[in-house]
Amino acid sequence: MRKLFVVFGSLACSTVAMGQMGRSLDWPSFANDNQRTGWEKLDPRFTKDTVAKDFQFLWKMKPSGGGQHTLMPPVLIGTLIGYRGFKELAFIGDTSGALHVMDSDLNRLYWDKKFDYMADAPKAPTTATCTGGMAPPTLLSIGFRRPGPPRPAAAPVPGAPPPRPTPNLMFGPRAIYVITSDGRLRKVNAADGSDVSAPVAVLPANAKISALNMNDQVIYATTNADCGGAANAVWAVDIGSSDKPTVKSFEAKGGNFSGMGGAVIGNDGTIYAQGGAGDSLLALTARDLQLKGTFQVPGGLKSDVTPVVFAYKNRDVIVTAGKDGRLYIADSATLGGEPLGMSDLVGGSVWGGLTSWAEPDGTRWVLASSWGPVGDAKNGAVVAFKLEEQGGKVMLKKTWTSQDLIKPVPSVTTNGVVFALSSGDASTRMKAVVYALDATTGKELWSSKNQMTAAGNLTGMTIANGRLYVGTVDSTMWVFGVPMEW
Amino acid sequence: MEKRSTLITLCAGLTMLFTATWAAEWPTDGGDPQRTGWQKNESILTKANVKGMKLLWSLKLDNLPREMHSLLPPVIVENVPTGSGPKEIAVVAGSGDNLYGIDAASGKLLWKKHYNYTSEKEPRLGGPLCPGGLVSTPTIGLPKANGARTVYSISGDGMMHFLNVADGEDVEPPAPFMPANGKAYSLNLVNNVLYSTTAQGCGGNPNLLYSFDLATKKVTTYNPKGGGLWGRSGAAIGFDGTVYAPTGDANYDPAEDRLGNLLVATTADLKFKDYYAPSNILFLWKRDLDLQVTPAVFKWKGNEYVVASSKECRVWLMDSKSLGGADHRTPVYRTPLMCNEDVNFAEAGVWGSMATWENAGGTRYVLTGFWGPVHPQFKPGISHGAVTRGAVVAHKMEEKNGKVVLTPAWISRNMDQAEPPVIANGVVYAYGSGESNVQATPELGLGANSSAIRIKNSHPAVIYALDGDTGKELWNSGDAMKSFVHFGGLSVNNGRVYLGTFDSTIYAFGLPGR
Repeated sequence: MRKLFVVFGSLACSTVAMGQMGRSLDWPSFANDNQRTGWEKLDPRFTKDTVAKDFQFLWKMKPSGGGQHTLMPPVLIGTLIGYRGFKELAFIGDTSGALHVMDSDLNRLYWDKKFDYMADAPKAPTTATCTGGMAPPTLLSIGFRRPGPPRPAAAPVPGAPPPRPTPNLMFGPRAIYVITSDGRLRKVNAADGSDVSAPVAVLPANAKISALNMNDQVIYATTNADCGGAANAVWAVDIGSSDKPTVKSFEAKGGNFSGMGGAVIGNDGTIYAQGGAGDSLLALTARDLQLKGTFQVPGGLKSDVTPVVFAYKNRDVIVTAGKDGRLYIADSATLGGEPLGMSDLVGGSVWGGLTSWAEPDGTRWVLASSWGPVGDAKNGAVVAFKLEEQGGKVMLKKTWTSQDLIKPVPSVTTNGVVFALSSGDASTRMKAVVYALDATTGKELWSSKNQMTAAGNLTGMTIANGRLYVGTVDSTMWVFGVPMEW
Repeated sequence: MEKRSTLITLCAGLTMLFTATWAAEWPTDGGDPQRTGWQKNESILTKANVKGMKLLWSLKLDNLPREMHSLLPPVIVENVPTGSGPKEIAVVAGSGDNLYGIDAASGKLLWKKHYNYTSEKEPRLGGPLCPGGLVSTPTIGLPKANGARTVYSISGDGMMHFLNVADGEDVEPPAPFMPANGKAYSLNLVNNVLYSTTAQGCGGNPNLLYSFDLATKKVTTYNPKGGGLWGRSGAAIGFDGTVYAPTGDANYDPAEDRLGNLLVATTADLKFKDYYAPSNILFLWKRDLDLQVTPAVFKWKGNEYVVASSKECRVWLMDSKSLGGADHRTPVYRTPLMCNEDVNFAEAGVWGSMATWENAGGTRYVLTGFWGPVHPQFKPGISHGAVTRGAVVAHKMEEKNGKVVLTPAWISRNMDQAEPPVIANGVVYAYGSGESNVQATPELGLGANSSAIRIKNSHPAVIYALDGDTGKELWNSGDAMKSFVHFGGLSVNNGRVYLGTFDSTIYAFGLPGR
C-alpha cells in the first residue's frame, strides 16, 4: 500500500493521482475494442444535446504532406503524460507506410515517422486492392488506457483463462504496435516515435493486413486478397512469451478474411474471424489459433464483414452478416448449432463490419451499414436493430433506417449518438458527409453538410473525447467535434 | 543646557537616521500578507549601487534535504531584543524539520531548533511532490510590548510551533494544526489568524485551506474539492481579510461545489466567497496546466485587484469585488501567453507566486517569472536577448479606452528557470533556480520524476538584479552559489538579498560595509 502511495505521489506535478485521471479516453484500436463494437461507452463530451447544439468542424490536415495515401482511422491515447506534457495523441497510419501523430487538441503534428522497408522481398507496387503501407495500429492497452470511472464490467464468461500478467507501466512510457508492409512488427514509443525494440519479421511482406487487435500480449491480424502472395490467414503474434515473438497462423485455404476489423476477440479470449473456406465464422483458440468451432448458415456468411461480439446472459454472442441479407446471432456456447436468432432483412448488402451498443437498461442494439437500396434509401443506409426476445426466441428487430447514404462504413457510437458516414464516391466526385443520428430513433441531430471536399476513405471512423475523425481520399483527416477553448 | 539640547538633537538625529536606515522587515513569504514580493522600505540598495553587490556571507546549515526540498525563504525581523542587544535576525526553515536563527549582519548562527516528530504516523518520503518534513515558510508576528517576536512554523508531524525569534525557545507548547506528512505551503498571518494551504494529497491527507486562530487555537478548514492548493507562498490575504488561493488540477463543477483549476476566495473565517474560473478551464485541466501560483493583491486607483497565473503562462487581472464577474469566468483582463507554446505541464509556465510594485511615478507593475522559452508571439517593447530557459516579465497597469489592461513593459534576459521575483527600491531581484524540472522523458515516462534524477541534472542557481522599469540587468551573482533551488525563494531586507540552496547553504548578497 505504501508503495502504491509513493507511485501515486510521484505522479506529475499537481495533485493526487486520482485527480489527474478522468481526463480523456483512449480509442486503442479499430472500432475501439477487442470485440469491434465501435462503441465508446464513457465519453462525457458527446451527448445528444451537445452534438445537436455544438458539433462543428474543428480542424483538418494532410499528414502526408500532400502525397496521395489512404489514411487509416486513428487510434488515440487520451492522455499521454510525456516529456512534452499531457497530450491527447491521434496515431494515423497511411498506405505509404508512415505513422503520423497529431496533438488532437491543438491540431499540431506531434511527430511522424516513415518506416523503412526492410524485407528481402522487393516492395510490391501499390494497387487498388493491395495498398501496402500500414494497417490501423493498436496500442498496448495499459496504464491510462481507461481513466475515469470503471467501465461496465463484461459478463463473466465461464472457462475464460486468467490473463497473463502485463508489465506495470502505469507511469512509464506507452508503446504503439504497427505492422508495416514489409511484415515487420514495430514497437514504437508513443512519446517520440523511437523504436522500443528492433523490428521483427512476423508476417509475409506485401500482405494486405487488417486492423490489428491485441489481447493478453498477443497481437492478432488477418491477411486477405492474396496480396504479395501471402496466404489469406488469421495470425497471432505472441509478444509476451519470449524476447522474440512467436507467430501462429490459421489459413483460409481458398477463402478470405476481408472484414475491416480483422480478428475479433471475445470476452473469454476466443478469436473470431469470418471467411475462410466455406465462408463461415471461425472460432479459434487464443494464441495458438486452434479451431474451436464454426458457425454456418445456409448460403454462407459475408467474408467482407467483421462480426461483433458482446456479452449476453453470461456468455458471448457473435452477430454477423449472412449473404442472404440477414444478420445472425451465434451463441459462443453452442457455436456449431442453430443460430440463437436472426434479424429481419437488412436490405442492400452489409459491408465492412457491425456496430453494437447498449442502453443503460441493457437494451442491446446492433447497427449494420449496408450498400445498395435499403428501403427508401437508394444508395445505402445504416440500419439499426434492437435485440429482443419474443416467445423465448431471440431476434434482431429492425427499428430504424437512416437517410440515404453512399457507401456507408461501419458506424461508431457513444452516449446515445450514432455517427454514420456517407462516403460518397471518388469516381463520381460525390463527397463524404458525416451524420450524427439519435441512436434510438435514427433522427438526424447534425450533419457536416458540404464541408468535406472529397470522398471518404473506406477505412472507418474514430470517436474520442468530443471529436470524430474521418479520412478522405485526398489524404486529408477531418476532425469534427465539440469545441474546447485552449 | 546647550549641551543637553545638543545631545537631544543628536539623539533625535541618530534615531531618525536609525529609523531611516533600519526600518525594513520581511516577516513573511513574499514580504507581506498580500504576497506582493515588494520590499517597500529598502533604502540601502539602489539602482545605482547594486552593481557593487558581493557575497556578504554564506552559511552551511546542517539541514537534511528531503527529496528536492531544502531551505525555505528566510523571514527577517529587526530590533529583536537578545541577550547581546537588539539584532536583525533571519529565520530560515529547513526541510529536515529544522528552524535556524541567523544574525543577519554577520551570518552567524544564533540558534537552531529541531522538531522531533511526534505523530504516530510513520514519517515518509513520497517522491519530489511529497517530501514530508518542514516545507512551509514560517511567518513572524508583530512585536510584543517588550519587543519580543514569535515565529510560527509547521513541522512535518503537522504541529504548529511558537518560537521566540531571539533564541529559538518555545514560547508555548506546540499545538495540533494539520495531519502529519502533509505538504503545507507558506504561512500567512493577519489579525491574529494564521493561514496555510496543502496539496498533492501528501500523507493521504485532503487538500485544504487552513486557518489557526492564535487566540483560541481553533483550526478551521475549507475544502474547495479541487486539486491541491499549491501556490508556493500559500494563500494571499486581501486588505479586507479575504483569503485567495489557487486550486490545482481537478474537475470544475460548481454545481457540485467542485472548484478545480481556479482561484477561490473565502472570508477570513474560511467561508466560501467567490471564485474565478478561466474560460478555457477544461483545457487547463486536460493538459495539467493548473493554477498553482499564489496570487498578489494590490490597490490601484482606488480599487483592489488580484493577479494570478498558472502553468499555462498568462496573467489574469481580477477586481477583488467580483473576481470573474457575474459568470465567474470574466476577469478584468487576460494577457496573451508569455511562454509555454508547447503546453508542457512540468518544464514551462509560471510557477510559485506573483509580484507587484509601484514606482515613484505611480506606475504599477505586475511581475511574473516563468520557465521555458518565451512564446514566439509575446513581444514586449523592451527585451534583453533570446529567452530559452525562462525570464521575468513585467506588465504595466494601464487604462485604455476606459478599460483596465496589463500592457507588457519588458522581459528580462534569459534565466535558467526564472522564479518569482522580489522588488526593492526600484530594483527587481530574480533568480534562475537551475533545477531540473523534467518530470517525464520518452524513455522513462513519469518514472523520470525522481529526486535522484532531477538533482543530478540540476545546476547552480544565479541571482539577478534588474532595473525595475526596464528589466536591464544590473548585476548577477555569477558562480557564487554552488547548488540549485527547489521551491525556495528570495528575501530582501536592509541591503541584503537572501537565497537558500538545495545543499542547505544560505547566501546573503549586498554591499560590503553597508
